[in-house]
Amino acid sequence: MRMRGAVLCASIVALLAFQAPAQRTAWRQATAAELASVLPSRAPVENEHIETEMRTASGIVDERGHFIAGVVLITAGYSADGKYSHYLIVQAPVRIGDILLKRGEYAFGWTRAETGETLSVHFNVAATGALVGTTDAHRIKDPTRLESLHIWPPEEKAMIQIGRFGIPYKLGSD
Amino acid sequence: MFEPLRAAALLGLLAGGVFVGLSAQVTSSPTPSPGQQSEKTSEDAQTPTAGGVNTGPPQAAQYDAQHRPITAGGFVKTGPVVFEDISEKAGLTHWTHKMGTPQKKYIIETNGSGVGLIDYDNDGWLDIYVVNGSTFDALDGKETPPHAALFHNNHDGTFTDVAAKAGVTNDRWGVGVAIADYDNDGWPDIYVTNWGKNRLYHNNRDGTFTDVAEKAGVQLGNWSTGATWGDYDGDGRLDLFVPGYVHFDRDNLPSGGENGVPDTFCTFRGVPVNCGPRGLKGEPDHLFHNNGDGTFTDASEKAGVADTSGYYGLASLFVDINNDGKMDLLVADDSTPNYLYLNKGDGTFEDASYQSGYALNEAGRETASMGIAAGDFENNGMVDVFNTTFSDDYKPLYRNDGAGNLTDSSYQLGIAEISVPFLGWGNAFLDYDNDGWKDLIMADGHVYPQVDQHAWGTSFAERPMLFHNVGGKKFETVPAVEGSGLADVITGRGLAVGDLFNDGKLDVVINVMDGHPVILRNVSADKNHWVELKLVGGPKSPRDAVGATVYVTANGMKQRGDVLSGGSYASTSDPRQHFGLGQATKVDDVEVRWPSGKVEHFNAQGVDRIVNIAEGSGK
Repeated sequence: MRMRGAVLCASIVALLAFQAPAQRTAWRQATAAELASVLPSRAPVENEHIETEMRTASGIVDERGHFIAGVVLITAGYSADGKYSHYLIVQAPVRIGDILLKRGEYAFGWTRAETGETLSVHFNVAATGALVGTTDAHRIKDPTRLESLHIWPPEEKAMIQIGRFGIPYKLGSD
Repeated sequence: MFEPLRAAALLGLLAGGVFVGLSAQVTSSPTPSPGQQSEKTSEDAQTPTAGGVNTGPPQAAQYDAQHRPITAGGFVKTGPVVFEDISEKAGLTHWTHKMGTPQKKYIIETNGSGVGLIDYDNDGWLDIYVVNGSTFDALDGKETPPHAALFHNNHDGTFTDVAAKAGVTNDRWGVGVAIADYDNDGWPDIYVTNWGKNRLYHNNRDGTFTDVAEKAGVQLGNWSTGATWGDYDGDGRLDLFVPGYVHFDRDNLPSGGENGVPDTFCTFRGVPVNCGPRGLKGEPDHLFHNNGDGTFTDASEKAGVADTSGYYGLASLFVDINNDGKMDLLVADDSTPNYLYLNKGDGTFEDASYQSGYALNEAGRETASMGIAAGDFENNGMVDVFNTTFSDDYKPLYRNDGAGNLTDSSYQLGIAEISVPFLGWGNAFLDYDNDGWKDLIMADGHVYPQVDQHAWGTSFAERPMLFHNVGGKKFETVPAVEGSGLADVITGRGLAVGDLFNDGKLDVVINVMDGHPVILRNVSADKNHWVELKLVGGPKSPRDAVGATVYVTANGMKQRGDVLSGGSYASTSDPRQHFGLGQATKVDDVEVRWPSGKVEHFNAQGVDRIVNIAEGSGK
């Protein structure tokens, strides 16, 4: 019992330590122009350069110009066909669900659970395809604007929205 | 309009109740290789896998006991027969649709055409207008252009093609048909969309028509698709919306890696196929305001529905989504976001596509939308929307949550996974068994002949699908009994629903690409009662009452019907409103909300009959 409590406390402290410094940094929704400047029109994924659908781009930016931004990949015709749905640039550490993403470029995709109530989202290193981890996106209970991708600013929702599904995120620091 | 729901959403989020049982797993297990198929049919990552088409990733092939793809098999030997294919004995199989060559080298050759149900001679019986395609050889004068058909209903179960006599053969590369009485003279007119100039066939009231499209200003000139009629500005005259698909240039035919079309947009599962629509220039949409003098004015930009993004429109429908008495506008776009335009009542529309939830499916993916069905399947007074999409993708049924909010509920309603292998086109809500709950039907068929050469679990010719509505809570697939109409394996495209034989049972007509049209006669064994209402609008409403909403109360239920023109895929259904009544032997109330804004109540005076209702004659 005591052991479990200690683990719980340590987890909370770790979480707060991860979250506190960066969450205090002012992050805001990135503009379309900013997203266009940081996201590639052809994303490097597993030794290929895959077209992106720029109208789906979404992201946040801090006062130092660090982005966390993503965009839908058009993987048709590529070896990544059907495996990935989005390309993600991470310029500040972020924990998405329980997956810690360091600075870098990632590709993610998902499979739908049998119930249809969750998406199992897998994050991979874009350049190599190496799996970083898998987490669940859950149906957002109340109606919200439908989006291909929406990375909400932390002050609003701290959520990555994929369609009607969402994954909470927490910002960290290096 | 969305504020209450938005506020509720925010409260829910702040309360921390958004994510239930969040789980995560870091694993070192190998990731699936690209294109790897799971054991079951289910939706996966959201990117397009058909090169030029936005659909889901490859799905596991499903076969029946005879190893036929489930789209061309899966039949049962016995069971209730709902539809009988009477096409041959009805006299429709003498006519053949033709579009391009069997190789389907170009996208223009493979989308097929629509069908419209029209009582063109006002004899009280539905006739059938079937659009034909064309060929490059016909365009070059090397062969006779395929003709459209106008099948006159002989009242004895047979039909006679009178298109030539009526002057409606079209003889162009035909795509769609939208039927309505645009000049309020009491006779239905026909708008035919083409690749090329469109036709507006004005009904001469003597069994013939005259093409007045040029004078009316509604010809356009490239690839028009599923048009819709509706009085968007409430002036009592029907306006016309015409979606544009691809700007198809015969002088620059699209091919992989050439003419600016990336090779990746010309493959399906890695196999070369015809290119597009991705990679091709989108054709804009057009809204034509009816001036009331036989001419129209293009109001697309002023109204805010011009499709400046160039999305690939295939179907459209004027229908009141948010119950404010004004015609809103749905546009189903192929491989790009769908549009929902909410009517602001001042001659303009608000683009509510994303806010409403209609732009994408619930996983946020743009779908290859083909057809639109609108109907109140829950009997809660709000119109729901069902879209057909590509193979490897489920077909989204958007439940209307009120205030202009649509929620893709296919997985909850049981029609998602079963529909994945099928490529759906024309669709409609119809109460085929008269139990008072609107069921769903869709026509199916693939666009790539190459699918028959690969073990992908889909097929070029496919059977239609019928879903039975279980009390507004669930849909169940109606089995395809061998030899019945649901076991027809066809290249289905346009679909229209109507009571062809005035027997109170809704029949289905399908335009089959490169084949004979199919009539699925409703032979359901149910003994339920019914009523059908033919509405006639007054001086301030369109004469054919397009835009009217009807509520019928009987059997403890209140059902809704909407008089619409267009939707499905490039097709128009019976304008008469059909209501199944179950075992009820009387109708308690008929309420009509006319386009003019007037609300009237009527006494249907019995059941199992077709009743004429005129605006101004109710209470």
